[in-house]
Amino acid sequence: MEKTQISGIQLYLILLGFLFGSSVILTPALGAGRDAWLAMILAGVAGILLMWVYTTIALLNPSKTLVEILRDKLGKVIGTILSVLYIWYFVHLAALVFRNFGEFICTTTLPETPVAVVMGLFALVLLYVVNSGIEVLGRLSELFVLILPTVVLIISIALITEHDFTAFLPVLEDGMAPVIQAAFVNLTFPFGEAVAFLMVFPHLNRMDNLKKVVISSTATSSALAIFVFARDLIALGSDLIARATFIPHLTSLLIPEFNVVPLVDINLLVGGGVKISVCIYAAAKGLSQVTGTHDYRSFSRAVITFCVVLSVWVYENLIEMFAWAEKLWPYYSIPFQFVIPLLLLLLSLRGKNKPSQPNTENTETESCTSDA
Amino acid sequence: MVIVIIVVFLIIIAYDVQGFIRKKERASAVIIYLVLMGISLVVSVLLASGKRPSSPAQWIEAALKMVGVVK
Amino acid sequence: MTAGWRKKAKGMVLLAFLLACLLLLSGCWNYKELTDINVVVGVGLDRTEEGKVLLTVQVAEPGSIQSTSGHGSGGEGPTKPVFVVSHEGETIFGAIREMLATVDKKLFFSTVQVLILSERLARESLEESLDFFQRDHEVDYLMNVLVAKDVSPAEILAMESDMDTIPAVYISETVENTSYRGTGKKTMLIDVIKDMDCKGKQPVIGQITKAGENMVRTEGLAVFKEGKLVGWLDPYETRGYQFAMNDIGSAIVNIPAEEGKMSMEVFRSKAKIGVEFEDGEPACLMVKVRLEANVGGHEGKGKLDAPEKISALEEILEETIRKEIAMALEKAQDEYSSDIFGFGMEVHKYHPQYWKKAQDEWDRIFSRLPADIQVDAKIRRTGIIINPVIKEH
Repeated sequence: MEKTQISGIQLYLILLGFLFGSSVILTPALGAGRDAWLAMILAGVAGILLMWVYTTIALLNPSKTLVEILRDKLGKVIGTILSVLYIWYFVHLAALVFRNFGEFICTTTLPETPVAVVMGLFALVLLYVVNSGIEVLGRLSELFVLILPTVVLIISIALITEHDFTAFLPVLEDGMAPVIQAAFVNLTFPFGEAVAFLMVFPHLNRMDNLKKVVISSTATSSALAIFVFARDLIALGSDLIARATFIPHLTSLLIPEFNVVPLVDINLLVGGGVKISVCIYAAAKGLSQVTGTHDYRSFSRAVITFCVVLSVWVYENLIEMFAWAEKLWPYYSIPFQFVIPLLLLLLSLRGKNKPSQPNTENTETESCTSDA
Repeated sequence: MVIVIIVVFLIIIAYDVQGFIRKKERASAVIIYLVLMGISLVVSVLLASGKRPSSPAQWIEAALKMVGVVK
Repeated sequence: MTAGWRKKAKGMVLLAFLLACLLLLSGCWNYKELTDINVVVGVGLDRTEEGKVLLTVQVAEPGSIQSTSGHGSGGEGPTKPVFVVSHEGETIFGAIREMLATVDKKLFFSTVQVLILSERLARESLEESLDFFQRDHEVDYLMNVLVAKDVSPAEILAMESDMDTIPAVYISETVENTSYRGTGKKTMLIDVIKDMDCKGKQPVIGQITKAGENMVRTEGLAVFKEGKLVGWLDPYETRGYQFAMNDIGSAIVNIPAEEGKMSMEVFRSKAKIGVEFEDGEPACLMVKVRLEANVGGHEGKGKLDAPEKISALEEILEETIRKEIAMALEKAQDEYSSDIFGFGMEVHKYHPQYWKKAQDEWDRIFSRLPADIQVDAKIRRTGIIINPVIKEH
């Protein structure tokens, strides 16, 4: 594998952009209505547990990517099949984000531009990022991801006069069931999607930092998302929230005298960009490892082209996209986000206790030196 | 529109395949690459000409319904 | 050699590509110059006898505004700062597009200052009519919404104003200044949208009437129930409503004083509403207002030098405002049976169990409830002077 490395803070920011990026326009826990903040807290806690699972897998299999771990633990045939499924999952995820992004731009700013053109141009930029390598993505994140909380702050301050703190009431009007349902949806989007980072983790320069970095990043993004939701709720009220297409966008429209919609767009460019880049990288890297190619760049163009085509192909319209993302995506994600990772965790833990692989403990502290 | 798409795809494919040959990659890599680009090309041509094939989203939906997770 | 040539060729291709991008991407896909659009400043919505939409737009001409507000160097260009066009259509968006058959350039709606609804339209279909304004991405959610009483929106928009070159701006300025008087209400589109969907609060919209040849009056309120106009509040009831809704910036309240009249300048007012419950059933509507006022004028005789006199005045002020609030509340309860105050929202928030079974008949329950209105007024200062000129009888 290439010797590219990213620092702890870079990984923190990439993951933050990845997790918080889509929350700029979508609120996955909205099924719980005004209690969504409760669902988001639950999802955040569960998300941290999930990250613990992912990072533990990565630490038990140092300097190995998801594809290599799968083949290692489950044998060549099953491992390859699952790898291909994961690659499909990453591509599908990237296509979804592409479409979200395109639909948002087409709804709010450029209604007459064909969605394929918006996404195609975005894809060109992202192709450049992906081909420049994960290091460049890390440095880009250092530059840009901090824009996300800044914009949140600017919009929140601008709306400080527009508030009704009792909008949270009544709490739990319909009981716990919708909250738990929404928390599950929120867990699969965006936290569980971070399974793609199993392709990225080996690049961290100091593996002993991994858990700390990943978990603090998850906690940060979760806190930010809850803050954004609380802001939108007290600014808009719970009835309007249920009706809006893109809630944070609607909130930003309430700011008198000046137009901050471009700021929301920038948020999306950064967050969505990071998310798509990671997915494309993961898919291209996975393909190159499955086929035994030297360089993932051979596949990046193909993957990104396929993503754009898929994103146009996959849903006919916005409503279908929303319905699908809400009703089917969580169940579709269960094997990828929970079942297979947990299986890998168990197998890795067993492998660790076996004396047949004694060097596992050593390499963990040494950071990645061995070539897979 | 269709012609533009085909031309763009051919350029990308030609460029990449040339890279594969130069680096002497395995045949399986080239085949997977060509399959991926082939699907993209076919689907985008179909989309551009207004004949949308049934999408993976619908297949997954059908599969999930078959398993019985979703109603 | 070949490698160098390859690199050069690659560079050239890249450069050509970037230059092409420069040409193609220098603006938005549907970017429009100011001269290519019609800047809409006012929109009027009406409904014809046959149930069609009658859309009226007031369009500003940026060029002529400059020439009239400048040194009058004009002589060229259109002399009128605005033009007004009406068009009949099946739907609002349909009418906007069909209007282009008679109007030269595409209408641009982000600049709309006021949206004026006709009485007929408000009585028939407020919710349906506002859907387009919620949905369209060009619409400014902060535009002012008004309901025209005894006059059609088209008439109001066709008025010329002496106070501002653009009549729509003049109208929106009169709406803005309601924060100094409280007899009207600045209703933004977002406020209406928020209330429209809410069972616990019925929307109200500011009212506009014709005041003269070139003047409008924005006073009073239009009361809605279940998305339909049911009646009006007069300026004093409106002020009472505004006091109860904690929406008073400042207001002048006239009270009778010994031998004359006094005008009290209310400069701070905080209000809270709520519903008292007894045995799980709503028992009483609560309105609590705390306000601070200054003596702004004393048109009469007498002295103000004793604290007892001030507290007596405070009581009169409290009673006056209490009456205004009671008038508004009674009208909402008895005449319109419409919970414009949002008591239902309070019930929903603090007694969700009761709300669940009562929400569909809340307006009826609301109309039956007794009200407890508490006003607490403090008179702080008397201005530059304490006593009026005439002290003794």
